[in-house]
Amino acid sequence: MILKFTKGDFLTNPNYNMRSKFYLKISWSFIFTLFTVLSIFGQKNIIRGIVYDEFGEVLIGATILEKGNPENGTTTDIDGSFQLELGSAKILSLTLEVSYTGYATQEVEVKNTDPLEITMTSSVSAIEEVVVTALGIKRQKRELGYSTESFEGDAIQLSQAPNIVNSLQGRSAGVQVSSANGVDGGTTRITIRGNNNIDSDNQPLIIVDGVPLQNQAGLENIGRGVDWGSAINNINPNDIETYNILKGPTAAAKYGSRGANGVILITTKRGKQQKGIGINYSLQHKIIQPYRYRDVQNVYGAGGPTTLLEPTLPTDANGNYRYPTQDDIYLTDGVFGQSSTSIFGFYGTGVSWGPKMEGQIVQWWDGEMRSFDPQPDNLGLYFSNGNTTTHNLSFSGGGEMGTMRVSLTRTDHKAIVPNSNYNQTTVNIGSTLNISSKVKADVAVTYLNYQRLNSPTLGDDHLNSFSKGMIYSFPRSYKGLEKEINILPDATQNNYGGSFPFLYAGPNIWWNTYNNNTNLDRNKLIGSLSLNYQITNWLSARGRLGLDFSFAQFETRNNPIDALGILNGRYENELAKDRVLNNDFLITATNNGLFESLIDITLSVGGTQWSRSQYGLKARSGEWVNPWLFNFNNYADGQNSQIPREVFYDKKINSIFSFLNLSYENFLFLELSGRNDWSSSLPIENNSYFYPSGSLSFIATEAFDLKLPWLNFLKLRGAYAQTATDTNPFQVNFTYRTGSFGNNQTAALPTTVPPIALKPQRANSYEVGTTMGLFDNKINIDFTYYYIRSYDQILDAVLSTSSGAPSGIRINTGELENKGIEAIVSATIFQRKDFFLQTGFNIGRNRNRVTSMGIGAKVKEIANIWGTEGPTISVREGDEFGTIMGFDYQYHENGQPILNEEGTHYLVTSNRIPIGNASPDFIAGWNMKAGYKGFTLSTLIDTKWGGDIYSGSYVSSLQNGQSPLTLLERQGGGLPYTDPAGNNRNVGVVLPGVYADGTENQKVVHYLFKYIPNTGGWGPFLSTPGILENSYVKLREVTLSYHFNEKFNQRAKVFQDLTLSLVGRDLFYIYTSLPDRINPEGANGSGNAQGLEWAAFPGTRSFGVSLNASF
Amino acid sequence: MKNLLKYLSVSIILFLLNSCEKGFEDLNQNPEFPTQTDIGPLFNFVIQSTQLGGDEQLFMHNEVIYPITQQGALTAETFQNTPRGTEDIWTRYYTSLANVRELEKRFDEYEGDQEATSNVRAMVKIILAYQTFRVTDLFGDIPFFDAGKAFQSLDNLEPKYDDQGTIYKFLLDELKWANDNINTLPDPKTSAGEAYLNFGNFDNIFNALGNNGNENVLLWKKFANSLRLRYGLRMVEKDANFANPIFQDVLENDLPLIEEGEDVGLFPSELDWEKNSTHYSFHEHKKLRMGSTIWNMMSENDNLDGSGIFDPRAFIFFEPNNADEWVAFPQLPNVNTEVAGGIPYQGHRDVSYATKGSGNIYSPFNYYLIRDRYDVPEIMMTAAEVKFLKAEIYFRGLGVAVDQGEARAQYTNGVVNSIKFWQNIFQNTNIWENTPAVLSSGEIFSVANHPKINIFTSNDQLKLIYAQRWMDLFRQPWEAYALLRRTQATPREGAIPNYYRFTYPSTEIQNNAINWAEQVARMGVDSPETKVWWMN
Repeated sequence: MILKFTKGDFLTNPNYNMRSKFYLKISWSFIFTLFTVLSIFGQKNIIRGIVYDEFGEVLIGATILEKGNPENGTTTDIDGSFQLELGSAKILSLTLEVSYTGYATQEVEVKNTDPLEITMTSSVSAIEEVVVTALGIKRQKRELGYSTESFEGDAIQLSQAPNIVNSLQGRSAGVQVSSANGVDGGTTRITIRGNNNIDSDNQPLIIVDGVPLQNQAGLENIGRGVDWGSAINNINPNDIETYNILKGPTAAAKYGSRGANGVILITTKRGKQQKGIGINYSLQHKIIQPYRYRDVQNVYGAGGPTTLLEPTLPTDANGNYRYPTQDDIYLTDGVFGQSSTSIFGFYGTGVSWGPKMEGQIVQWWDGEMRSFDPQPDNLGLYFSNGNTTTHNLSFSGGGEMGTMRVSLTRTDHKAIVPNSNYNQTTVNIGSTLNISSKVKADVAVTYLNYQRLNSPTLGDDHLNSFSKGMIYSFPRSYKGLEKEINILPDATQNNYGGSFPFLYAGPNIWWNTYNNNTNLDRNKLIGSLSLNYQITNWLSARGRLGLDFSFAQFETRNNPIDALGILNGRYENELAKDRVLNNDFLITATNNGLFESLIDITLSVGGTQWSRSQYGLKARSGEWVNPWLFNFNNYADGQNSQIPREVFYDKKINSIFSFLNLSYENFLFLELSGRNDWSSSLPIENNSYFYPSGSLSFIATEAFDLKLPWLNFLKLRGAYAQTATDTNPFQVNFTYRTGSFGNNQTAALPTTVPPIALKPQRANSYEVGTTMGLFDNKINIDFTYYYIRSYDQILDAVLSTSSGAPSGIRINTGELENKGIEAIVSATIFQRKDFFLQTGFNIGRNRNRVTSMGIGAKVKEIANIWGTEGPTISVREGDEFGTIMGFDYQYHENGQPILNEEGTHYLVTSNRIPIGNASPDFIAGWNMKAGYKGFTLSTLIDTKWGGDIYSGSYVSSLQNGQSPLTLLERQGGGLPYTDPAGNNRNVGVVLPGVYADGTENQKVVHYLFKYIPNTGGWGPFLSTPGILENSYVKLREVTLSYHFNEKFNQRAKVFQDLTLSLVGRDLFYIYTSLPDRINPEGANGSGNAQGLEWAAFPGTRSFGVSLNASF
Repeated sequence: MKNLLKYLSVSIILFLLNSCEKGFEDLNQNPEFPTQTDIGPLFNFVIQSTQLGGDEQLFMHNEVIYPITQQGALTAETFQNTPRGTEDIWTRYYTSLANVRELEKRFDEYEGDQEATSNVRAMVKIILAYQTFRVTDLFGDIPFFDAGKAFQSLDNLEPKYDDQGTIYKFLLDELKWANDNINTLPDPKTSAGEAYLNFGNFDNIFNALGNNGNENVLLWKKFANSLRLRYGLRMVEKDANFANPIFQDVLENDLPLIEEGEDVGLFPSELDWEKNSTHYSFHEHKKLRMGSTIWNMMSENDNLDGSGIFDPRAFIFFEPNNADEWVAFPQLPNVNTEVAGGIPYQGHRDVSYATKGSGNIYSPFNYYLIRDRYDVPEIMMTAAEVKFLKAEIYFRGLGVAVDQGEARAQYTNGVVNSIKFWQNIFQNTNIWENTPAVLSSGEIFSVANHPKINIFTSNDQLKLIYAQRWMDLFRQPWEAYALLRRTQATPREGAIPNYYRFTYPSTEIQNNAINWAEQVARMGVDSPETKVWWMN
């Protein structure tokens, strides 16, 4: 008979009775004696029991406490069974508290059954669960004065999302995940409670086992680029025990500056005592299918806006049809007597204003005779199914000495685009070690190697963007010949004899795809080691060392295109190392029943030292002289292009902090914290800054002992926090730009006025909320209202170029506010032993306002897709974050857009003005989970409602005659119109609007005027037609799992546990407001600018299967 | 509680406090850039900023100015992205201006004898005047007196617009100051015996001419006085009382001016500078061709074989079409005008010179002239132009007595200087292969005597002076544009378009919104049709 203490955390478990601990030592021998006596005296005082989960499986490691005497407790063993000595108490008057992570804590009245069978139900809202909060401290969620949400790693793993951030989409209120356009492995954007920074990163801090992860976006530019993904992609879902989202700065105050945007805490698995030999194997395989292509017309083929007659194919001297050349598509005179571009403005060779594709035999641009027929599948020429396979093998065990888990994971991925793939090998070790009864160690180490070959070019790129090609360069009659003929028999590049007819997306997309290779090889080590020392029964200390080290190599090899092996050969190599050290200590003192009262107090003092050091080196070869020699020295005489470039980053933040938790009885909880940071990036006089936080929660049901049948739990909470954020290094000291001219040095002032007395930027945040448990926690409701005011923003305030500082001035200025609500409802609709049905709903609505841009201009552009020739995303004083600026109609005072006298062109504003805003009205998610016997079916639907995008694909598709919407008049659905040859056809339109004098336009013009000059696209065009509301509802995820029951496992004698699952992800849009199947999630990159779409990839869905077996 | 916590926390780790900031300053020092610099490198940057931007050349010169001045002809409509050009020149100018302000500040704060700063101050004033005149001539009123000062004070972040007349008079006074204060002695010292500051080898304008030591400053003085003539003349119709004394000062006092062989500009080969912007502006914009107006100034007739060409600059400025024929694009095309095409400016001509594209039926600009990256200078002012300036001043008797003889002599020398200048360019170049014959001085004089341009036999001598200055300004189209706007009398066919200025760049409208709005209120409308101050 052994007395077992609770395995709860000494530091933070407020139920732990400190006073009695004082007597413990003294009483030690007495207790032993007493127990010996008791054990002889009455067998009846031992309670035996077994704890099951809702599927009837035993739960290992569940905690059993004697209510009112939390010192007396035990945990279930590998059979799920326990026995608890009850001292002198009378069994039948007793109540046990049974708890297990992820399950609702139960109070069980002891009955005269032996063994006692206890069935735990998984907690949906988990009011009662223990959550990991800032700095890894576990707290009972019921006590918290601020909102957090937590998720089980297993559910996330099951979703087989491209990365762990994607898997959170739709699951958490107020957390907006934007899946950037591209392929798996790309960057994902996540924001919690909106954008709080005008100029700097708005994404939350990600902490893995106490170590802050560097998570720079792989692509921020939304216009164009190659997205290499961010570090979060490297986190292996198989190793994750839990995720906790600490929303807003309230909880994150303890992390200091870097937690100002909220924190995602990831705890990896540590191993546990289990049945069998402790080996777990899981396999996940999914197929990624590009399926949702832009909707296009398949009636009319190549042809420019060069005639107002019925379009025909050009003919050669013999009268035979030939494929239109660039000269046919851009006419310099033609029927207009002017060039077609001067009438219609700029358009690409993807214009499909030509004749019907009716199988005419046409001499193609390569000289071959081919039929001119519809190519409905040509948007998919570049794409094929991708797949991802992950194997995970883990070993786990535990005993008196502690626990250990070793996991090995291998992921292989083939992208949906050609010649692109990645793989990752991860080794993870998580261990707890009981060094002595007072000292425990906790170790988590992850090493991973990530290899990625090529990532596709997104958005606007003349050479490599296939998506741009399909909209702007290749017409609907495009057959993709280059896919086969880009390479000549002698392995050199085919330049098609100069006859390639398409402009604005190169003839060499296919060549480049296979011959220009960039490989990313990243090695990453994340490790943390912590020691916990229970110094006395009221005082403990913890020290932790954390490391995030990355070493990455980017190597580019572009094969030469000529037979000699020299021309266009290119070699580039970049090495980057990035080391983050995060060391902290925490000393905690607790005193329960302070001054003989009902007040419990915990005071912690701690310190952190964080530093980041980054160094990168990049160089390339010049114009080659040596064939096929990939190295820096391959350059012709007189070049100096092999000179390397360097990247530096060095920053350190030292912090001390303290927090105080006070609780009164079991219903009033107060937490106060203060933190002071010293940041190396700020000027000495301003580099020390303090910020406080406080939260209060009140459990009314406990306080007033409410026992309403419909309301079993009611908590009211409120919190205030301030956070302060520093900035990037190397800004404080004035430096000159340097260069050379005329063999002499040049020096110049920077283009940005450097900060004079930079101070930290701050945010004050307030939140109030309530948590309710209804009908015995069958329905849980959590509601939060928050308000965040961010001020003293460190930003590059925009100045006029004439001030002499074209890039503006870096200064503390500008102010934003975010306010919003978050609501989470979860309900257990039905729960029986064999069947359950649960549902959850979350919604977040955030309203942002840029209250002041401070010094300088009142608008700041943060991104564009076509430079000065198109719309931008800007931050504008008085607006919500994400103003879309563009060229608008000129409106008459009667509200109508003004047209020219001919009725062919709208008048356009000379400057960009606000025409839309990307902020959504709300985001929400709804999940259902049903179980029958071993089957579990769950679904997740999420929505983003409201908010505009500017869709470049949409307007270009209209302009180029590719959109199905352009068929209307061409197919005779227009107004009667007499063309220059005197033919009368129903191809006319009247553009709605008025002339400058206000009279209504009634002139019937050719349909080309409706689409080409007046819908948009690159150039001096209207932007307004591209503004579309982007709302969608998406069936994000469906999973079906079967958990083999114990009988099966016992019979098979192989498995301890076996689960098979099927998952469908990103299945379809239940609703989308966008026309032409434009990708609602097609914005490139993950920067602050969201709301511009251009040349997005097709939407993808994936189907996966997974197997999880324990041995 | 906030304070209690703070003090509690602070006291607990008081002993650590020192180490909290230890090494921060070193850590936060950017290893990439220097924290101090001298006036020489700053001045070199300002000189570098006088380079023409690629977008200025493409979207302003090639698309707008050449067709207006008729130094060239556009065969088709343009990109019409003029704002990209104006943004380019605006940024280049004001970025440079900020560094001029920094130099001025350093001179003001110079702790020695202020006189020692005279030469370097003068050089900065001259380069500033050159840059500023160029910009104000294109836009009209611009922010100037408060501009470029963001680095000096937070009160100067939104500079107001200044009246062009005020800017003109200020800069012309500054140029006079330069003339009066430049000390051209070999090793100048102040009256207190302190050596003058100098820019040493950082003076990349006149170093390029192979001058060393203080010899450069005389050239700067010449440049200053030559600019006084150029810009004095530009404003003379508006304020003769201000301008005439300038001419009087320069000419009657025989102040030094740019002479033959002292042409001012950036010479790439001397600067080890690979100039790519010009080629960019032409190969991105393929529509510019030789127009009939300039053709008529260089050829007696329209013979396709070029046998009518009397002015050798025709072979330097232009080349025959794809059929090796000289065909000018009509300045006023009509429905019968054949459609132009071709690829005469693409880089393939480096290796396949003859390939101009089948559509290239009109004479293009000379490929070498626009392609050359090393030997064709970016011209600021030629000696020939100074001659034409003097010719106009003497002809009209501005500030000096009318002197027809002197005017005619200056004109003739101007033509000769100009031909020599352009001839020198292809003579010195490495890439030009089929260069035209080099004319002797005598042959060049006979060109000047050709009946079409002989001033002694002309009925409209002033117009000839303008015409030949306009010819010489072939690669300074912005200057020709100013000449046209002032005189309305440069060679042309058809009416002068009412395109008198460029509208302000869109970033300026957005980012200096209040001052721009005030400026628009003053000028009426921010439109090309609004005349600049010195125009009549």
